[in-house]
Amino acid sequence: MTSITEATLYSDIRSMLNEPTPLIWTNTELLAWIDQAARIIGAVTLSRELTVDDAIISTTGPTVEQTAYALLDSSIEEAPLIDAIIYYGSTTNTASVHTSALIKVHPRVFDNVVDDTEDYPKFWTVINETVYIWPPPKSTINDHVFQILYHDNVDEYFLAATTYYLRDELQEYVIWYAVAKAFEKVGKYAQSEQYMSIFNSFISFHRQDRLPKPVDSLEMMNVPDRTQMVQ
Amino acid sequence: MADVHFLSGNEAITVIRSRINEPTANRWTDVELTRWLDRGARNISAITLCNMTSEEITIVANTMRYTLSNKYIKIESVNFDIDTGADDTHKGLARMNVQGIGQLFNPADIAVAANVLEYYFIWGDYIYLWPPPTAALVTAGKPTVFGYTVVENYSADYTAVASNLLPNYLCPVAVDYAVACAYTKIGKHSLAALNMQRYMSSVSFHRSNVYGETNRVDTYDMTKMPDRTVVQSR
Repeated sequence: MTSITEATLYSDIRSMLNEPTPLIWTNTELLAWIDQAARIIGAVTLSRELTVDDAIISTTGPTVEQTAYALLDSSIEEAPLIDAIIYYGSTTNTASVHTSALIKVHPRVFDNVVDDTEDYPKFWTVINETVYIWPPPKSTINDHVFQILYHDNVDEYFLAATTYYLRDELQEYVIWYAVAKAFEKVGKYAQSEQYMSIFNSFISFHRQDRLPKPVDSLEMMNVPDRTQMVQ
Repeated sequence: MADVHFLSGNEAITVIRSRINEPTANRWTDVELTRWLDRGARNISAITLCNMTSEEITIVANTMRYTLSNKYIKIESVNFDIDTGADDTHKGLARMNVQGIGQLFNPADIAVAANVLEYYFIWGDYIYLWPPPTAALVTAGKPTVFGYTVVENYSADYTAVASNLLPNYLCPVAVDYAVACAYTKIGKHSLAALNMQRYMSSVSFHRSNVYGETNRVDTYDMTKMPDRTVVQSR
């Protein structure tokens, strides 16, 4: 599926508002509503799943004995959710003999740490834009790659000329949001609510599909027992 | 097989024009109706997960992250066929939660001798496979990913039913979406709401009945037969 361009978005919204050229609603207003919608969709569906290598720990990888690392990437600093950290055990993101994922722990777990022997890090937590890893890294793992998996914020609809923050299947929903806001502007509050509820319904579906979910339960995969004869 | 649901793109436009009582373009252009029909088709495939897609992944030794060529809304399963000669091994990989990998990725795991793929999870447009494959496994086969993607538009060729990108039973649903948009344009918001409600109901039914998170297989209880060995007393 191809992305919906800026021109198509304006055209679609204006078509539904029956205002082909700006009269009541300016393109500046439409763009503001498009960006608002993109931020809401990103926050609700957590659709922007990104990875970054190394930068979370330092520009050159971990430092021996150092457990606290400020998040260097500004987008991760404000990320709504950090999901996992993978340690590659090498200076590239190719799996090595020590590849592992670190276990996320509650910050209070570190209260009870009594051993400060350097080793391969096993645990991580995040407080105040700082990642803590434990045990402290030993000298042999300098420059090794740590990869963070996180949900990023959506800042606006257009990331660049032809790239977009939202995934393709989510892009058309900004049209419904913009139409709702447009009717709000002209005092048609019932119509505004009508189209806002359509917007909310659509993104609810995607929230269900994209949010982290538990793995399938054993029961879900149970098949009928055919060893038993039907009486 | 003849079916009233079979609507080519052009036939669907005619049906929409009939519903909004405008046989020839006046208030609504064909360009608008086509765009709304296409948007409806994309939305239907995004919500009902009706567009099933699969692809093979070429695995690389000691690599666990792979770029997926399709943009999946959701991955349903990953299978791995290992070519071992006459009797190939077919194996399904278990899906795991990304937040659970800390409990699984232990350095000791990588030393597993066979390194048969066991687990997967999806992150963005990547798939992660675990344990990382060995060089021997790379030559043995390719994992296949099964999932759902979004269709580009209603039809690849509006003149031919065979070119429809939606399953035929969902084509009339796209018409409801387009009609709702058409009424929005002329300010008939009650009629727009009516048609959008009809659309929402249809996609919800298809989502839950066919591809939903309900039971994937019949439960044991569901297939139990009544006990007829006990004769009812009068």
